[in-house]
Amino acid sequence: MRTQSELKFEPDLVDQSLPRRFLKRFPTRNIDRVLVLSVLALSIIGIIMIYCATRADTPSTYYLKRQLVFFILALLFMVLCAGFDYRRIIPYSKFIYVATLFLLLLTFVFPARSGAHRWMSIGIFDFQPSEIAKLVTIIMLATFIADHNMDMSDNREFLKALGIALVPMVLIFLEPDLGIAISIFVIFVGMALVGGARLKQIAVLGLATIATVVAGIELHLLKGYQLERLLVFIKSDIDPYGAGYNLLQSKIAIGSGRLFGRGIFQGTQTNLKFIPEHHTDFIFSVVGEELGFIGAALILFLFGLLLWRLLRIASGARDSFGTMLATGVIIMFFFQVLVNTGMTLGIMPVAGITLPFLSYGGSSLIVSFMCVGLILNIGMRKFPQDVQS
Amino acid sequence: MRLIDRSKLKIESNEAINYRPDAAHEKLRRRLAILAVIIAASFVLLLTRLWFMQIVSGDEYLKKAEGNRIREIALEAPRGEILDRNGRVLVKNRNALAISVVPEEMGNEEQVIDRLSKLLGIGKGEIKRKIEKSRAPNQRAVVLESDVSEEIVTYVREHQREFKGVIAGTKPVREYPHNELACHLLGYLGEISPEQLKEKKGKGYRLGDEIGLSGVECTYDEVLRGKVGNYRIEVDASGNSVRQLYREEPRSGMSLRLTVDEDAQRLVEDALKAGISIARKRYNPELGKRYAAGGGAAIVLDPKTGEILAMASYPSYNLNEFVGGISKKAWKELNDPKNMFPLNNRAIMSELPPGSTFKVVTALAAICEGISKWNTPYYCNHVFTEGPFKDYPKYCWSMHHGIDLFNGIIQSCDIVFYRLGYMFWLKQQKEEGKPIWEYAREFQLGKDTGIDLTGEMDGRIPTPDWKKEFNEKHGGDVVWYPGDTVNMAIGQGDILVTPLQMACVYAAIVNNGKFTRPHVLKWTEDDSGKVIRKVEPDVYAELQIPQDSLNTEKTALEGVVKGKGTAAATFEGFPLDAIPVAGKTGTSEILGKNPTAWFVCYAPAGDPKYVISVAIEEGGHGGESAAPVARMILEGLFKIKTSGEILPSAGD
Repeated sequence: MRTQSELKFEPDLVDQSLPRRFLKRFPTRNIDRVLVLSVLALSIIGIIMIYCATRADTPSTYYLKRQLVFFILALLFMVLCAGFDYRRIIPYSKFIYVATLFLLLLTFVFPARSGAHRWMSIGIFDFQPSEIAKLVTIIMLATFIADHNMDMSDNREFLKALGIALVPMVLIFLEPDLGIAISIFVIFVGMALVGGARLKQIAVLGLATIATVVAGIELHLLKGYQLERLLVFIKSDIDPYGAGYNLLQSKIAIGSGRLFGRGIFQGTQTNLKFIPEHHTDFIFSVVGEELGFIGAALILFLFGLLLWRLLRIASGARDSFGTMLATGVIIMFFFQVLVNTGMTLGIMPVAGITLPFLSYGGSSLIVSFMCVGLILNIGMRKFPQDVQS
Repeated sequence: MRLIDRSKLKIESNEAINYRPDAAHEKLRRRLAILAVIIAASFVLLLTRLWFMQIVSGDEYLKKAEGNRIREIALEAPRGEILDRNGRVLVKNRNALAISVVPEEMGNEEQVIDRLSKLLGIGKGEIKRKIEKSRAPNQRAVVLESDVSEEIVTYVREHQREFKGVIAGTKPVREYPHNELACHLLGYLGEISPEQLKEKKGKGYRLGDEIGLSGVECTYDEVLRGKVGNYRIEVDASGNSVRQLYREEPRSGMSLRLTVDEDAQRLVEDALKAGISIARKRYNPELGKRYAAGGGAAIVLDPKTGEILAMASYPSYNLNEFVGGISKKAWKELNDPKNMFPLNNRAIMSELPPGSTFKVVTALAAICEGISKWNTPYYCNHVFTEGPFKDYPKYCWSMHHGIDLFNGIIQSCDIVFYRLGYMFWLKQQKEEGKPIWEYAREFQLGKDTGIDLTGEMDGRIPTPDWKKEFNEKHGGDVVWYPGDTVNMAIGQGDILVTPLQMACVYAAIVNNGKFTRPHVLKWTEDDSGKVIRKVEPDVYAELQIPQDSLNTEKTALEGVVKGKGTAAATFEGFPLDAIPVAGKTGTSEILGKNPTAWFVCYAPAGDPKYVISVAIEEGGHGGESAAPVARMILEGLFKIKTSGEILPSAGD
């Protein structure tokens, strides 16, 4: 059915081979090279740091090899996501959204790992639907907000949009994966604000959230460790071996890096495993320790560069859907960078949020690159002549 | 609900670039600009934080990282051994299985303590106290329990995860192969107290160290302990050693070669013990019950060198009870007055009136003062009533009839010495010549001998000034009476001496007036047996007494063990021709208690090799309780085989 409708608009492409058709639709001259280079740099530094963090494990290149494979897969996904007119997603938004909710429900069928239903095993790769749910929620919200003329100031529309975010959020919260649930909430708030919501609405939402959290604690819906994690960053120095231990070790690692770092492979906090989960949530601590202020600031600079290019594309997009999609991705990346690095620096709670492009993990890396692909897509097609006709 | 919006499947190709109205577009741009500002501000915040942590406080964090990574472990230096004069081991070391904790690494302390308490069977409170006591800036293990079983060590090692910061390993501890032998001389170890730590500052002592608390372990602690080594390793987060960074080997302590002879020591201890158990069976008609004989001491001293060949104190204790820290119960028992304080070394700590053994001093003093000659005749009719003593008569233990000073020593006649005392009193009144207490001081009484053992007492030589001062404080009579001088002449009253001091007095007499410092250390030696420091004889005082007077007195002392002598019965059957023995009995009365039995002697009398001093508290008369002990010792030392029972002598 889809091909039929496409054929209607592009009769001249029927007899062409698939690669040539693909290239024709790919207006490469408008690709944002700075954006591409910044994410490539981040990913490559990430792969090196993952090796630094895990080379003591056996086999020493296990994580390195896997992340390399994920990286190549992620690049493919990025190209795929950039390879068609992004507006073609709009009619399928609802379908993708419902399918993703189904996937999230499906995780509960798979056996729990360390007490959480986050993963679905697909052969050697454990797929994490909550990662893709972030992107899908952004797509759904962008579709919805664009559909309603960027006017979220209307309370009914605002609540509908909230509903769109809330369903995957609750499912992910129940997995439980507090970090991603909070990410989706923040993505919603940011997109709603850019999409015309008033601060008053957000304030009411904030109050309602606090009330819900308090009620959650009272009714013991929030797990003990989640609450502890959220509170612990305040008192990390008092309780070095309790819940604040990770945080303190991370701060020691980063601090001890000083200006030039302790040198690649030389970080004692990393090599002697004082930093917990050093290849996933605490990868920034490894950067801080081994590459010092120079390295950590470079990472932040690259993220700044990325967000700046994303903002440029968001504001230059030819339609509201494109703007909202880009906005959602910006907020997602920004929130993850802020909370993750802030956590390793001891100024944000330990919420279990990964650092995009750097943390080890296939789902996160692939979804991040898919996001980049989609935004490149928006940026490539902001001129009418680039749109296929 | 339709999942696919068919109306949007078609893409308008010729849409305007900015299809939005300008106003709406402006609004959107403004919102994105606000978002950009928020993002920029956050990045500035992150960079500032990064700057403060890495550039401003970087060194501090680096120190913490090094502290994380580097674990300093003290390598305990093996303590020196203690050997007898022939090189036989009296104290050595062995490795004991021990459970220790490093408090900084325990993590969940409460939980670990709880598990340890169950495993070791010690109270949680006690564990916490031990940890608290040793929690010091020097990260080191606190030993909770030594000599644990192999199973406990294995259990902890297999469950190391549950016992974070707990070390199951070995620790060198003292071993005493002979248990009680020479316990007072050797001394026990214990944990250093904060006061001792302050006192020994700068000498490498650390909190939680073991330190010698008595005997040579205490006097020579700094020699024995050696120097602690240092071992620095890199550890990972679970505390496993990754590699060694630095190592300074410990230097083991010096060994002590004592003057003590293991065989002589055993002999003296056995003799003393036997003597005391015999005394306890003897009936005291004056008190109407058996002698208490609660404790005693015996010393064998080489008069020429001052070397202590044996030094026994009864009751004794088992040194092995102190290994790895003495239990509360055992400690309480050792300090219970009922048990006569076995920790005390009575040879240097018991202050007793010397009784008649002091008469050697009185006699020489009287000769020097010209009060009497050796052959000046006296008459003993059992009671002394001269001058003021008409109203307060003093009695002799026997009736000696006509007697001179020379025989007064042999037969220990009190009347002779009351008379001498009275003469001293008269001269003292006229402030003529030297008072009797000055002579006592010249015999080095009233102050410690300076032996290399801790806790030695001074004894007491009373003087009118002392009496005044002492009794003003204690509410007694401050006046010095003739009785005070007369009592002192027979070694009674306020005069107090230690068994070692008495041995030194007799050693000086046989040494022609020279006082050689008594000592128990012969030399210190290193691992290979090389002598490091040798103790040379130290003459610390000399008597100004004519040689012939000393010689006459020595002849008199030889008479004590034969004929009419006060110890004659005891030495019946002893080969005195081959090994002439000279000595003096003593019986010092303490009101309301059994008398203290004394016997101080030396042999062979011509060229003495040994001076022996025996004192048994509440043991009865010197001749009956102390002299037999001395004979047993002599028999052992000279390897004399005699048959039959050693008889008590009736003499005082």
